[in-house]
Amino acid sequence: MIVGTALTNLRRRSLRSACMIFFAFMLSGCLFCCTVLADSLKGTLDNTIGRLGADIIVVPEEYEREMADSLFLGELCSFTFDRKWVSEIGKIEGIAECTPQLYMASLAADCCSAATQMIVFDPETDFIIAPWLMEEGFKLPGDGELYIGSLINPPEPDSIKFFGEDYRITGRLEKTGTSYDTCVFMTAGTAEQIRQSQGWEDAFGKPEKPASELVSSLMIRVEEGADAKAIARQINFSIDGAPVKAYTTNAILSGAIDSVESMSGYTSVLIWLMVILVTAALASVFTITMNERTKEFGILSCLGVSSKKLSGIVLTEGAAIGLTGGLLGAGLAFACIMIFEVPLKLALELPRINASLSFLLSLGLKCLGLSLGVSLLSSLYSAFKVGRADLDGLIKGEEL
Amino acid sequence: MKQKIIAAISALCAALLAIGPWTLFPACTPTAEKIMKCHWCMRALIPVAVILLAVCAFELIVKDKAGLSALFAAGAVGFAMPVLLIKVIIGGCAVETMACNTTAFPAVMAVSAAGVVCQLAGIFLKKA
Repeated sequence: MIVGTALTNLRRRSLRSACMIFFAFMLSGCLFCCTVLADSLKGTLDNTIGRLGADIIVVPEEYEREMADSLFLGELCSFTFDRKWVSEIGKIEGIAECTPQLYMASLAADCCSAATQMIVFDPETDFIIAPWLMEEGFKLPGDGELYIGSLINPPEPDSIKFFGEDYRITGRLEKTGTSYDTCVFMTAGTAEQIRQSQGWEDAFGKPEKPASELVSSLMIRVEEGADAKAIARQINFSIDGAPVKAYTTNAILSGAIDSVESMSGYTSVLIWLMVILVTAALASVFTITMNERTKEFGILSCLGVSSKKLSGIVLTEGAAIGLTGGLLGAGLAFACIMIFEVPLKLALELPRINASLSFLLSLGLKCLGLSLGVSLLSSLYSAFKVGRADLDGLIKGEEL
Repeated sequence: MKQKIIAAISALCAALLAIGPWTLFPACTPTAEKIMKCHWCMRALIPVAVILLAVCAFELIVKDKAGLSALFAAGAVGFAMPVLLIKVIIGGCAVETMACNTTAFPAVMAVSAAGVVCQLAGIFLKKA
């Protein structure tokens, strides 16, 4: 009886109900969109730092920004320094492991394929890619072989073309939610084959040095208890003439970390502001409406409806508004994220948008819960007042 | 009457699915060397849209309640097909900045979603 009466009330005042549903809709939709965007940024950053596994990164001077963009946004980079500096840096006290990586950028083969970042690692010293391969049960790639990231979809399943030559794909790595998903991984032998190909020579000219003598970044893991910042400082100031600069992982990604923190801050403020505004707006509408409906409640009371049931009717109306608005808001935001994922990503310059179904569904439920909670909270005062009012006052239409 | 309006809107959506990718929100232009995946995807949309147009035409004609409900249900499934073509069955170019990924696919999916909502509304209104 309570649910039926509440729904009939809402249907009879369709414009008022629609306005109240709109408040709940806005709250749910905003929460959904803001959370997806903030979580996508934070998730990518956390995954990047987690997957990197290095405490210090050494890159050529003035290439810090390119390196950060490559790590966080997946932008292509291609810079090098001489390998002789690797052994110099490796001698510094406090360094547990260091491994060089070389980055090479391919060209898009045609309009349907993307340019790819190639990461060349040294299997003898590597502590970043090799353990990842072992974890997934893969062997190290040989000459002419490579591993591809999870988001690379070559036309042939077991080979990929770079600069007009085919190379054997020995495996596809699991999705990491980082820029590594759009990279290919190989050793210096394969890199040298690519650099010696005619296509490479046509695009970039004949290579002056072999791939094994070039380094783009040196990944360093410090000894337990050692201060990464102090070691980075030592690298920067103790090696004379080195055209490189060392950064701690947090320092190199500081721009991204700051952006993520400020975005999370703005999102929290916006959500709290929305919760307060929507609660206040719904509470005001409920209070005004209930005062207009005192005679209706008086008649129901005369017909034998208990005060508990009267309160129940008000609360059910609140719940119905919260559920409908929450469902519409979360549903529409869900559809928009799924449909406009790519244009949004490009327009907002995000590394990726977390559009995994499980995440979006759980977030949708949270938005629904919040919308329901806010709506119930707003109707609580009116429900309490209706339940406490005396029959005489209700029939007279006195203010609650 | 409401169902007829819904059927007419759905028919517009179906027509937009067939014509839109070639006029309003075009996918990537085929080059002399290669015809892209998105081109085939957009071509595959045409028969789906034609079938949907036929379903919508029947929705406008049929008066039997059960038949109309069945047509709306079939239409809802049909309008989900373009999304499957784009996301699962065929797909498009690998480069995210290509026209298919930035314009054509989002527009087609938005029109498909509108079609699904219209068809479901048709079933709901029928029962109400």
